[in-house]
Amino acid sequence: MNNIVFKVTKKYMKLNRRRTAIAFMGITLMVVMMTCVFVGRETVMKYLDKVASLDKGSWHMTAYEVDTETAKTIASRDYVEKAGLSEQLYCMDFPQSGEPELVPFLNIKAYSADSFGMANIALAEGRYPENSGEIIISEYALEQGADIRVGDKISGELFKRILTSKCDKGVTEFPHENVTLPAGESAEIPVSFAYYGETESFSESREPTGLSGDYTVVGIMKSPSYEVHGGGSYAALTFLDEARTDKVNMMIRLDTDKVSGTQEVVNDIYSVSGEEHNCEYNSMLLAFSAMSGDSNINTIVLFMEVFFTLFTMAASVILIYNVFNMSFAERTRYLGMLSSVGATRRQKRQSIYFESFALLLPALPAGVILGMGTVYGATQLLKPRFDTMLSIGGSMISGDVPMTLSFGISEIVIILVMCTVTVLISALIPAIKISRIPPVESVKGAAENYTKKKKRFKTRKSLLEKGKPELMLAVNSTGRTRHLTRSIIRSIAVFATLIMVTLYGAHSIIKVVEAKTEEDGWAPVTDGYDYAVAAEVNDGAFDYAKETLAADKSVTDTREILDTFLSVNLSYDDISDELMEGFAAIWGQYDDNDPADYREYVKEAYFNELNVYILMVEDEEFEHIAANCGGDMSLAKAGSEPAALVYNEVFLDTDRYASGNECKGYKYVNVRDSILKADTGESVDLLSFDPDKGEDLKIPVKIAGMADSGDIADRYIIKPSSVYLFVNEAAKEEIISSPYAQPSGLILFADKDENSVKQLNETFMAYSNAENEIDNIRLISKNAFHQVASIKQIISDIIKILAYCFTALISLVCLLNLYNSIRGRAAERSKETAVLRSMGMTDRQFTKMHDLENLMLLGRGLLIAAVICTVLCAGLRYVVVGYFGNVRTPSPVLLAAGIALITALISAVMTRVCNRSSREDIISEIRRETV
Amino acid sequence: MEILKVENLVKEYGEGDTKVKALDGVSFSVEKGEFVSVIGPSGSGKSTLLHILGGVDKPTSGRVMIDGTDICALGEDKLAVFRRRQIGLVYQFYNLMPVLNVDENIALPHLLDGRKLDKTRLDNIVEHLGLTERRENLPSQLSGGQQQRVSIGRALYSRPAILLADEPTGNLDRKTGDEITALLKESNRMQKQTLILITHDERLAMQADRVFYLEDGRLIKNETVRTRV
Repeated sequence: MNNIVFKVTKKYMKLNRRRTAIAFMGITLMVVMMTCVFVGRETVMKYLDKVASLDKGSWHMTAYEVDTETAKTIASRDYVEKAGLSEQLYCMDFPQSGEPELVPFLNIKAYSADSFGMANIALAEGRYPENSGEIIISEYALEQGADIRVGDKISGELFKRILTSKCDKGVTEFPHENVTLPAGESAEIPVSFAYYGETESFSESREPTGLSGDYTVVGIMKSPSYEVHGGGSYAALTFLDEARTDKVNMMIRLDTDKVSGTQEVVNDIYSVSGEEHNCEYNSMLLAFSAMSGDSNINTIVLFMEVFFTLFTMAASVILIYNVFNMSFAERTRYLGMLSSVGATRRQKRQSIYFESFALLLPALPAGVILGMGTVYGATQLLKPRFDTMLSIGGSMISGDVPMTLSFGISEIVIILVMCTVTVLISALIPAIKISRIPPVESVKGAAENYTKKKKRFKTRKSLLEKGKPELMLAVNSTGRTRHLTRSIIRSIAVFATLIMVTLYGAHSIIKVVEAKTEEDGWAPVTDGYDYAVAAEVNDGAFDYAKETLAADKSVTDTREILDTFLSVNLSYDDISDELMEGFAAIWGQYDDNDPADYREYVKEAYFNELNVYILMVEDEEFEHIAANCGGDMSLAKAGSEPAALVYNEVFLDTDRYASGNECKGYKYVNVRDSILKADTGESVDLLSFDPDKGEDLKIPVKIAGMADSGDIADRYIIKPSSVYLFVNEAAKEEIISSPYAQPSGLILFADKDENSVKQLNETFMAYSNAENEIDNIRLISKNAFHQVASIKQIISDIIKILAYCFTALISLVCLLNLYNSIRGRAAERSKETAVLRSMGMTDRQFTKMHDLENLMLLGRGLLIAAVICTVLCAGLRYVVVGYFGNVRTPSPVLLAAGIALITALISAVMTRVCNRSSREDIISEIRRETV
Repeated sequence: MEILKVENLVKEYGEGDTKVKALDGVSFSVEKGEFVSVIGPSGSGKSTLLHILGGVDKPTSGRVMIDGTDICALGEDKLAVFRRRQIGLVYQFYNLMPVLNVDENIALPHLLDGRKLDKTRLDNIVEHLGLTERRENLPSQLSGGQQQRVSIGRALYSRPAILLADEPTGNLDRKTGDEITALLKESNRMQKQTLILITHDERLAMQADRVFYLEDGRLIKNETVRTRV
């Protein structure tokens, strides 16, 4: 190393080991953070990818019945990572079946080598087929008693299954299989369709495909995800040498970096083949690649990544900048000495850069390794939570998926580049500032208070004359030491701002995700109950269930709720202007709809009536809710007069209210506090219809109060996508008696006797069978109310976990930054502290001075934070509202107050801890004159 | 009247083989209003002695009685109070508070004692030290000599029992050094301020009433220079 400036800088770094160590820690932590962001994201996404692949396979989409030329063209596209072909060869007789009367066929498909891998076909025994004369059969067939083993031969004609109606009139429908069979007609049915053979209404026949199969069984596979248990065929797979028909199915794994979504692929296939194809999507896998069909979820994932990367960078820049800035006075002295012997400004700047990069070089490998360790530790901690969530998703995921660190060269390169850029930015301002200090000021040690003007520092007479030395010292030390003070103020402001904005941002993201993913509807709070019975009211099933439960001595604590939707309405004239505007805004998102025309539109399209949810509750419950919401108790208690409580919130969005073909973009509107025009004590008409008389029915109810989620929290959870009304028993009688109303009933009950519950279940099933109705009366475990979790909700949960993890990481950096500033200030002032001690300043006086200083620094720091937070949170809110809608975000005021309090506490504790260590050696501090 | 009495003062640093005796059985006494200088080569224990006398360091053994109080027996808080009331310290490198201006620095020990500012005394001291034009300057805006004047002003403002000066002119040019010496002597003579001065400078030391010679931690000579008038 020939550069003398670098040599001196290196020596200086060695001499000031503590400060150098802190700078090194700061830079290392930044590398750790970056590693956590990029490697953490990749690790979690790869894990989710593996989990999702275990369910259906590692393909993103399958295009059905594509001609072979198109398949070849698409397979060569750069966005295709892997493409596998498959061919549906349809059914073949399977005389070895263990249940020939129920499952007499094999559903034979031919897979190319890549398809076996992508479709996640796992062998239980034997090997994969290697030519079109070999086949593997589902293990499920063997479990059901099939007499087949590896080495056996099976052969036969291949055919499609045809169902023919024997009816003279009407239509036979199989909605789950999407089969509609008009009277006397025939239709092809899926290979997995249940086998009924000959029935009174229809018969099954075969349509030969013209192909035949002659196979040797070479393996037994685990039941593939597409196999329908209970269908008429077992799954079997042969090898696809060459397509035997002119149409193949194409399984595609996309290179997610080269394609934005599946629609792009669909369009490409259409442009090549000139026809539309049915496509199947591996929605969970697509969602984890941020390519789900829901563009908002993708945007949220991307938004979150950008948001947290930026905040991590910001936190790191400020941390490292502060580390350099804290040693400003020390550094200026030695640089001043260099300057006095001829070092140029450029050389002084180089000194800072040299130090930054000299620290960055060892910090990079150390930080990356530590970061990976952190990610590994965190993932192992979070894995059980992820596993639980994914199993709740209802997927058929079995076995353990190890969560291993995942990263590629690209992640490492990004980390290196981001860290280098961050360090460069961090060192830039201190380098420029230090290079500008004149050498004479540096050597004199006056740089800290250097100002070009010959400034005077007025005596604070009031403090001097009133004898308040602690306050005088506090005021002057916070007001006259620019770098040290500013570093702390900056740290406090950054600490409060980053945590506040990160938390607010994380909350906003979570709220958006919740708004997007939450299923609307209602559920009772089931605390204190074990089961529920659900039954239709109008056909007598509900009364039967009620009587049965009443007769069972083990049943205690019943609670009865009736609900109805689509049969009781409100006039649009009765709903509030705010809600009307909400509906209009959603409607306006579609096609060329003008929100101003919405009122006319509903008059024409919906007879000016809005479907509302009616929850008919027992009078005791009605009173309870009315009391909670401060409603009109005279109405609530009267019991004889029909009364209603309005649930005071409705959320509307374009996902739930599709009002046309073309949607301009997602919109969410949350209406609160003003749902109906009528106020408490006033009356509204519930509207129904009498089909016999062909006329409208009006059921007037008095509004007994307005309830919000808190008022009903102990009884109900409501996610309201329309108006919800609770009505009392008097109103219930009138609604039930209206011919058009079709209420459903729910009776919650407690029953600790398992035998009694079994008996009840059998009784209700027998009732349903006798009535020839499926699930006429259903017995439900109370857990069933809260077990629904879709892919969206899983994503929502994962986003929440990641958001909180990033918030914790950023908080950690902010905390270190604050600690470093306070410790740095204490260290820089150790000599002053020693002098004050030598003059007789007591511990009590020091504590008072520090507390006063803290108060002033906090005041200034939090004031700055308040201004920045207001701007950033308002901006964030603006973006969220503009892009998603007026989701309900938490009040930033409470959050801010909490953060201010935490900042004050942490700052006070840190100040005391940092200044405690400065007590020790007065003499050596007083005599310390070295650089 | 005896204001300071030092009895068999020992100060050791380190342990075992590395043990160093900075002071080895030093005993002496100083009368009120006396001007004593302590002289000796580097490492002789001068500064250690001054720090122990100033109550910022504790001896390994021995006693220091100032105005009848054994400062070695005082607890930390009581010692701090004692320091600010009875001791004035002047350092070679001034050790002023960089965030306080001239007035504030001078008044600081007095204020730390919970006493109200004596504005007239402050004005007198500032004027006497020739700092009237610099009252609202921070130490970093002052020359070395001016900073040392502030340091002396700070030490004198509370009328301490003893003024301890550690190489007060060591960092100054000769002319400025002489001015500072004159100020110290003046305070000694005019206000009967007891002054203990540590110095390398024999010429300066000889201006004292008595000179203590320290060598290897021992007081080898206690010499009266002149008789006070």
